[in-house]
Amino acid sequence: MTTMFILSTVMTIIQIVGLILLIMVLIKQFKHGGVLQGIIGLITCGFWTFIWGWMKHKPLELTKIMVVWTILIVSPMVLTAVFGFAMMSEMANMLAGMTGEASLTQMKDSFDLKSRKNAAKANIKVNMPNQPKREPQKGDSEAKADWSQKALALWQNGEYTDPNQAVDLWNKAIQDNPNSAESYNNRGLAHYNLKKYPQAVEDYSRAIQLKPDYVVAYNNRGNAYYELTQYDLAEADFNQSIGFEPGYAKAYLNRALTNYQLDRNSQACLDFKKACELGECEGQQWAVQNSICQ
Amino acid sequence: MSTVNANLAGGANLTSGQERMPANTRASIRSRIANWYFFPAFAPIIQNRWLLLILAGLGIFQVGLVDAGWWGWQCPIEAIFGIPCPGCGLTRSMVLLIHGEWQAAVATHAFAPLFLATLILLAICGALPRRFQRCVSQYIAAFEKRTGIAVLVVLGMLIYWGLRHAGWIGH
Repeated sequence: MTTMFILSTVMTIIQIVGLILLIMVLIKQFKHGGVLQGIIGLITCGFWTFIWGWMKHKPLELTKIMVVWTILIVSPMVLTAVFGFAMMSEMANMLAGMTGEASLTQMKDSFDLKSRKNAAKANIKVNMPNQPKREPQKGDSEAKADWSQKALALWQNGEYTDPNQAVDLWNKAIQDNPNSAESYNNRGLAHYNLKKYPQAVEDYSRAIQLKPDYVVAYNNRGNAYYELTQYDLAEADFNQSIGFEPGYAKAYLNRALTNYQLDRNSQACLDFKKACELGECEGQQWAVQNSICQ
Repeated sequence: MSTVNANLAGGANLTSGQERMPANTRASIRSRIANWYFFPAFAPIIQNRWLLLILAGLGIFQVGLVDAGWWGWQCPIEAIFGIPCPGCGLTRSMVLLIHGEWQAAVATHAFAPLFLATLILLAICGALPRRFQRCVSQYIAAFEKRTGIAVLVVLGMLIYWGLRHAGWIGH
């Protein structure tokens, strides 16, 4: 009986501390992950909050809390192994009586598989301000030159004036030369303009496959992943892009925005600063205006 | 070939124009709601193999523990306050489903079939090659964006929980 009393006291303490830790992480989840994340955490008995806490433990400095919480979760399992299921079941019933529950013959459980990776933050729009510079045509094949030339003529003010037509033209260019990484990249841009991001990703991936050091294709695929809210993949692509070309200002700018979406403002500020040093200062100005960076 | 090469520079310059500028930080309320509602919640998990494996592993472990009668994940809210949260009973219901007791499972928690199917999907996706994982993720992301299924499920669970507690649906 003494063992039972000690055990039930220990379990009560574990449960109370566990609830306090859940509330602490849940507050962070609502604050940094958004309302939907928080609600999902709440309606899944804290299971998703626990997973999310481990996912974000480094940037949000939750490591100690998460370690303690994990120990508290594992300890009843260990106690069951030590004291046996019968005693733990009896003790659980005793605790159920304390909380006013009708019965607790089975261990209570909850489980959630649903999740959201990132918060729906401010909708940052894409802007494509630069007019492309084109090399003079040097072609020896009129047909090939034609498709590409016509497609390039559609690119104005940072986007295609008629993306559908651009897709058709690049399709023909690709038919003529299926191994042109650039054609795939440019068709990807047309798909991007049409907001067909998965198709854009496919095209950029093909371009990278054909030309593994294709810096701009990595950057573009990163942008498509960004639109698909797959920020981890977007970040990986911007990293690749910067790795190949450390002076690529736009990749820093895009990585800064990705970091911002991932609630890593300090890293975002570093990237905005770097982009500005390399000549792209609009991002930094925006971040300062919105009090994201100093 | 040289023709195509002439356009390579054009291609590269096309790309250089593609960047993201924070021109509009104050989205309209309507677009914010649309973004929130049609935000893909599940698809990004499938892109992250580690998260996928951890979730699928923990899910299967939890179901296994409860099936074996061991102490699994406990809802802290129910443990302390005695009030079940909207997710309470899901694992028990999934265990019943696995044992073929459909009626009892749905009576325990109506959302269990959906969660069990999700768990199976996670486990399958965890075993898929990277390329197929991406395809599945893209398909699910498009589906989520089109239907807003994540928010619908959350709202559905909250309504279901409310109805159960009001006594309109049996526990």
